[in-house]
Amino acid sequence: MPNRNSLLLLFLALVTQQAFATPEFSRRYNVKSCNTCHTVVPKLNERGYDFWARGYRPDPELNLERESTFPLSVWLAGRADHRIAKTSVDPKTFFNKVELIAGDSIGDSLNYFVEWRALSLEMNSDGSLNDRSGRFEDLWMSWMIDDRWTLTAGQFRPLQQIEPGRKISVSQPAIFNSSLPGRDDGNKRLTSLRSFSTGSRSPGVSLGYQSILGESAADGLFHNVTVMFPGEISLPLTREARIAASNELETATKGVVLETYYRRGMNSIGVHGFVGDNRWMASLVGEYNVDDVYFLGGVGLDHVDGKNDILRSSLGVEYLPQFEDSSWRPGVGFRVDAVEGLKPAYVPYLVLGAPNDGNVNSLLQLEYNGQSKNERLRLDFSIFF
Amino acid sequence: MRYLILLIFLGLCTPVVADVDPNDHTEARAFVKAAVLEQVEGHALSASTRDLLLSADDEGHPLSFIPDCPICLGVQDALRELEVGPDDEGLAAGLSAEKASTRTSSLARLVRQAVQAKLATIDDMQQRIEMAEKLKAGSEEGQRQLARYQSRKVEAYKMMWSCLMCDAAAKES
Repeated sequence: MPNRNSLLLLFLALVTQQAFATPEFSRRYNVKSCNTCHTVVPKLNERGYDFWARGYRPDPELNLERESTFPLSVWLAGRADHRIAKTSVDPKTFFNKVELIAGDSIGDSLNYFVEWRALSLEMNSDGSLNDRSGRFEDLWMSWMIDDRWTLTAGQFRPLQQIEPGRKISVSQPAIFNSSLPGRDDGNKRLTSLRSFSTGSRSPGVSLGYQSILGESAADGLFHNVTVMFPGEISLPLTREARIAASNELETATKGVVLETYYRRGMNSIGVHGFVGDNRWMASLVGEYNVDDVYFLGGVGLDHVDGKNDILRSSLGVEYLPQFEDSSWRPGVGFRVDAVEGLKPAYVPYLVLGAPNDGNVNSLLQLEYNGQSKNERLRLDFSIFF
Repeated sequence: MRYLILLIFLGLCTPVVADVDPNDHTEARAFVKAAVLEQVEGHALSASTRDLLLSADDEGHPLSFIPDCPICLGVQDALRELEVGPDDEGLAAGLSAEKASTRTSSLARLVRQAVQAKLATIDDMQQRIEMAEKLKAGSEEGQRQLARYQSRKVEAYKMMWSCLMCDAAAKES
């Protein structure tokens, strides 16, 4: 199987250099480099944050012209996964992601983002693969009511300050991995969808208000209220996915997420919390940038009635140098994740993004999880076009 | 699998060979200068408006232009050669806005019109194509220069998406 997948990946990598090989946004605004909006894809820089905060529109003062383009980007990824601590589990190499992505602004006030995973595989702790092919990740539309109010509906992650999906490490920091269990009525799938994690997507409706405007559209003081519902929007493609990623939606709310944060450039500080039936969580998260060094830190508390509270914290640093005469973007990071009751995890990682020419990009991520008795090495290779 | 990944990665990073010598931008710079001067022939700018357009930050980086960009240098050459007098209302109204980004986009519109008009005067199709290629090479050099200054984290260019002068010059070519 790996051979067939490898050949497919090679074929796609070669043909896309001649085809429509450009991510949608850079094609649409004739941008010459992925680094216009990203430090290392997918991590945003200040211009990227500004474009995102304007609802996928460039600063109107720049008078950039929209070009007509094929409204789709593709993200292909393969993974080598080695659970070092589990000698009974063989290392595995597999295609884990084929993703179709579309996003754009509509008129002066609407914008949308759709991210559909035609192939979605994850390795379970026993070495088997969990197939959830056909599920949607993001599927939302946003209405910028005026320059302060925004209404968003669909399926999305509730956090705005830091979008955990724009990480360059393979794993998410523990600060976004809180998992408040959902009501169990015997249905494993629904119980899982009723649980809450800040790093996971759910159907929901969010109202945002910006009380202080800043120099850039992404700068200022922001407040968001999000009502989340248990569910997952999905078009399952395989027999396994029809069980593990069935299309579900419950009308009883999961809970409410409240968030307030202040951003200036690449620095931000904020608090967010979730309140649901018999459970709540609260976190303080900050990020700070000096030259090519990016810090992330956070601490949070998870509470479930009748159980001990769990304290979570993450502290990380990334060095992402930018070279004057090269569009290659290497990076190195190190993070410590601590969750009460578990051994701390020491997570070093390396990344390399290239060629970043606005036509096609690739990303290599190598991450070691140094948690006692849970050591794990993962290598991801992605192509975006 | 790992060898295939390496092969794919190397394949993606194959450099693209430019058709035009990127070191020769003298003609593109001179062409842009002449085009802008012809476009604004008969117009005048006050010394204060011209200084505003050519203003720089504390470290000497021009606020409306990319340093070492051949297209931007052509525009700056033209501005320096413009007749100084009382502001022409049509020209100054578009150019002398407070914000650097507004000034830059107004200048870019002017450059686009100027390049389009100047190219149209070249009767020989082959010569027109060659000039267009030189402008394109100049604009690519400008975009490289912008990336260079952005990687140095120069404040004046941190929010720029691309060199608007370059976009304007290459648009009609």
